[in-house]
Amino acid sequence: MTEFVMLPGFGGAGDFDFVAPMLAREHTVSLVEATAPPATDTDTILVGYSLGAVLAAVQAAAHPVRGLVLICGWTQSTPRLVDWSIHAGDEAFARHTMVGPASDRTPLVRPELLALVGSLPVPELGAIACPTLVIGATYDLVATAHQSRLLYGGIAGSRYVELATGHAALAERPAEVLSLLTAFAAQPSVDPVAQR
Amino acid sequence: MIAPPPVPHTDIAIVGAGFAGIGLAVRLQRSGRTDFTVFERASSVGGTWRDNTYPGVACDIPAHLYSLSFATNPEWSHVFAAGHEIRDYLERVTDEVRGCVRLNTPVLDMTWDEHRGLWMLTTPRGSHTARVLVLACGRLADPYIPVIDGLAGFTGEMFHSARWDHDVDLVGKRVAVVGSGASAVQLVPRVAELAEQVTVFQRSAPYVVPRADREYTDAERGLFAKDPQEIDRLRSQLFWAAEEGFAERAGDPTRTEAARERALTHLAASVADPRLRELLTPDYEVGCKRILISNDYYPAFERYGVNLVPSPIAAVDGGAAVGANGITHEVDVIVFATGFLAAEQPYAAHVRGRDETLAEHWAGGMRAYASTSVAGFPQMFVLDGPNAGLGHNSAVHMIESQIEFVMTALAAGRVLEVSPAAEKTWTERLDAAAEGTVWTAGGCESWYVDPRNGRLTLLWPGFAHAFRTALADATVLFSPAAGPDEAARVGDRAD
Ligand SMILES: Cc1cc2nc3c(=O)[nH]c(=O)nc-3n(C[C@H](O)[C@H](O)[C@H](O)COP(=O)(O)OP(=O)(O)OC[C@H]3O[C@@H](n4cnc5c(N)ncnc54)[C@H](O)[C@@H]3O)c2cc1C
Repeated sequence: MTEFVMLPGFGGAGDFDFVAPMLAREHTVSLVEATAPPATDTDTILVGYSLGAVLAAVQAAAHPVRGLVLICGWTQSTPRLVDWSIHAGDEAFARHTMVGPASDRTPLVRPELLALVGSLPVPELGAIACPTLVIGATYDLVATAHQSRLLYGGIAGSRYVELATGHAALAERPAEVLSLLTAFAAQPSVDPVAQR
Repeated sequence: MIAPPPVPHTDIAIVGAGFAGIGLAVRLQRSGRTDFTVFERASSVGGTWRDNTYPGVACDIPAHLYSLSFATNPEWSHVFAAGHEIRDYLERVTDEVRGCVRLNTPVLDMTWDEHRGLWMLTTPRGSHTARVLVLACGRLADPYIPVIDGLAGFTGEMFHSARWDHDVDLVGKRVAVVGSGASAVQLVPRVAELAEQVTVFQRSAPYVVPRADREYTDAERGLFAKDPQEIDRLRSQLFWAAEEGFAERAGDPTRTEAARERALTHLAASVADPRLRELLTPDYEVGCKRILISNDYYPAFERYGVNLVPSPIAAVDGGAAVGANGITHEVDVIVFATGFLAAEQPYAAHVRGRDETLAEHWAGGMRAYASTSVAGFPQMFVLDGPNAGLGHNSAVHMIESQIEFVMTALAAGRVLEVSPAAEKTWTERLDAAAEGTVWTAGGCESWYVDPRNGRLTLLWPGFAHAFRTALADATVLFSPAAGPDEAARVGDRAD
């Protein structure tokens, strides 16, 4: 039984509405709002999505955890991302820019969380020592897969896997994310790509 | 005296030419093996999709996902392909291995010869020996018709949905359909278009949700043909979307409630008559039985001449079908949409291992290590057997997980046998996982559960991706490094 701590993105706790209960069948899971610092220890697997991934990376750099999973995160807020967050209060705009071309899903966006983009701390990637899984998304127009690949480049013990989704990976492919988290919890150091 | 001809030998004997048997044959051939034989009792391949030709038959998992990953098909006309398309597809896939398929060849007996370390197969067209036996006989291959008082004296025509009699013209007839499961939901709307009167005998009402079918455009089909990776991308999307369906059945009350809502809203939107709606409302937990998809099943009951009897058929009296309430219905034709012999597979009685038949071994319900290997039955694999079925995702994905298990085991090249301890550990783990789930505690009577003991033997109580991982891990048993006790150890560790 693993202890998961999950930091959601712009949708708040609803981002994990599939993954959290399914993980909770066999593990303990706590969800932390992006605005509060998470309570972690060296047994924790810390999972962050979108802006939650940035906060998770900051946390893991300062407080060692057992494993870290960063989903559609970024190394630092780019002008593109800040511009997007300014416009994403428009529901239709957010919806269409957050999902991949083949998806009919509607991601959640809480406007008050968009404002955090400009003021996020910058994680010190070199200080992250635990096994890390970086999950990027091919059609991510918001954070971009390139930013995920930079996280992969900057964190020494990291692995990279890419999903065929937009930024809203958790709305589009929650079961696939779940399968990656389950496999990571069982063996944090195994390459998810080789394993597939 | 003329010496009897030598018994022909094949390295790998595969019994059954449905998705499982044909799929394995193609994988073997492509891996460079040529010494295998597929035995099929019928006069053509296709299994389920050869046998089920009833009006309206189609898959209810999207066809691009409900097909072999290593033999994809750019030509599917619709999201949910009609049965004949799937049959044609399986015929085409078979072309690759046709030389190794023996049609019209039921295998009547399969006996392990301990002395020679071989399987002996008996067919009406002669005997064969084989080093490895693969049972790919299906799970829904033998029609089940309930015992009904007076049935033998029925004066009209009758047949099972999987043995549709196309010579019987239903136009203007009075037709009884017995059952309201997956087949009935597909055929009732079609029969209602032809018959003068349709009477559906419903033992328990199914949950039915909308069917999001559509035709693929020429552009889409053209793209699938030119760029097979597009099919892979679509398959991946469909697979992971289907996986989400598992949450409705296990552990997530919010999703269970949403699924129930979806079905009941669909019912309310389709049926105006409150009494009819009540009869069509299920009385068990959603997911306990297969959740069905249809846009025309509910509306069919609002047609003039379509009746719903909320009970099983209790008796047949000459030309009349009698409901449990004693009301008689004069009918010309009885269609049995009553499913299949599932919990007790007929083939099991004809497989003799070291000390017993497979039917004897399975007297307490089907069981196998990794759903595939059975203790006391060396060099044998069973596909689509114990706990290898699924309600929420493609059976073909499950079958492929098993095919890969077999391929890995064969590559190990040693005598392949699991210990009773390994099988026991595996089974206990599954029984524990099934306890308290919607299938065992959801208040329905389904074919997933063995009525002899209440064990969930036909369904894998987890995600399809977890089945694949579990089977991949389970092949450790066959690695050259594995010792005699490895089986038990693997069983203990797998989770
Ligand atoms: C109407 C219907 C619709 C379905 N739709 C879906 C769907 O949409 N999605 C899904 O996932 N699943 C569906 N299924 C389940 C379906 O059975 C499986 O998906 C799949 O087709 C099983 O393939 P198989 O090769 O294991 O068995 P089968 O297709 O049953 O093939 C077994 C073969 O073995 C042969 N055989 C048996 N015993 C012997 C013997 N002793 N000697 C020689 N030959 C023998 C049989 O004749 C048969 O050809 C459906 C089933 C039915 C009945």
